Amino acid sequence: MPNHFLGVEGASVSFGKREAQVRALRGVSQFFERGTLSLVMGPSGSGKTTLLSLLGCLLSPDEGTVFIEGVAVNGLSEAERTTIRQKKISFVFQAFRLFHSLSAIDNVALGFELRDAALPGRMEMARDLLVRFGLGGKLDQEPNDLSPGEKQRVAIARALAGNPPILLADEPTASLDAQAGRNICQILRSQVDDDGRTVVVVTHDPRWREFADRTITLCDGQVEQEEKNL
Amino acid sequence: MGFGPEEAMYVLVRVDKGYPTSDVQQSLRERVPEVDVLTRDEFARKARTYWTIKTGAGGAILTAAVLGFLIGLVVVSQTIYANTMENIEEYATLKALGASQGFVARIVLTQALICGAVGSILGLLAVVPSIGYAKSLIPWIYTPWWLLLVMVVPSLAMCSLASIASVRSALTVEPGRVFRA
Repeated sequence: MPNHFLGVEGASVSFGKREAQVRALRGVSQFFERGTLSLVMGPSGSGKTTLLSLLGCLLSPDEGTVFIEGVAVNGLSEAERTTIRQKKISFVFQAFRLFHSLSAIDNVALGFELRDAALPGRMEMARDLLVRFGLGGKLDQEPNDLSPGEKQRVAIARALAGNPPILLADEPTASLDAQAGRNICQILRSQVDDDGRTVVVVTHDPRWREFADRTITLCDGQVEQEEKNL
Repeated sequence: MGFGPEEAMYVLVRVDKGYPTSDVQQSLRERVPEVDVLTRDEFARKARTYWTIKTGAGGAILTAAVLGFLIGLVVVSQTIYANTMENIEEYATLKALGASQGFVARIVLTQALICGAVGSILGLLAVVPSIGYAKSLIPWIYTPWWLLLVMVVPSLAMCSLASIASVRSALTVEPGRVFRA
């Protein structure tokens, strides 16, 4: 019996209609064990991001089931799916998606606020997270004043605010140089080793392989290959 | 009273202390029934009603106020909508990160109210000297201080109303677009 902590079973997703229809996923079944770092690789258009959107409760499959922490989330309302994202899932994006009018610390504090508006001491916790990622001297800087590597570390700190058990990353190192990219790989790996988080990374970047527990390769909306790394 | 209708429009009667105004009014009404006999308050009310309703002044002011409200509504609505669409990706990010519909709506509404508050302050800064100047020309213009503050309320209501389209856009943005570059 598969571990249904996080995953999809028989998931199919199509976009467009009639002749313009694109089948992004074709009956994909994949489960991600708690406390692992998994890579999802494959060429552009293979369905990687669609799979990540399903796992992130951002999209519903046309067919099949999505499991978050062992619970099937297909039939949930939009408000219930929002609550699941709020409590259990965090995202890291290729383009960072920080709020440019907010300082680094305010971006991270917002992450805490979104997860629990009544949580006291948000600024202190945001400061601690940024210090942990080596950004103690950049707390009050706005994203436009930070390097790409620093922006991504702020984005990861925001994602970790509120301690969500699942972290989904879409090409998190694609905009970074080699050193900054390796640093991000190490940070996300430490989330698995130190905090038992479940991390799924969609990437084209082969550097990730040495940090991942396993790699799933998609092609034309289907799983082409699955391999253990560590 | 010895005046013909072409000779006088108003006659001012001062009542000595100790004599009730209503008694004097009643007495005059009996002696000159063809003349309107009004106390100060009645005269003031009648004059206000005349200028507000019977001449075009009241209608013109009301029309100007309604037009001002509608033009303000459109301008503020366009401004807030443009600002929301410019930042629509950030609203999508917020929703992806788990922001509730109420949280997103509050952000847009807060921006609209800030817009209204700043606009009201700037408007008052322009209006206060204008009132002073108008009073120097027409001394009997009456503008109580509270009227200026009361005008802030419809301004804020207008801005809230103007944010409806923007709130709707922010609420309907798909959070899934966060993965599109």
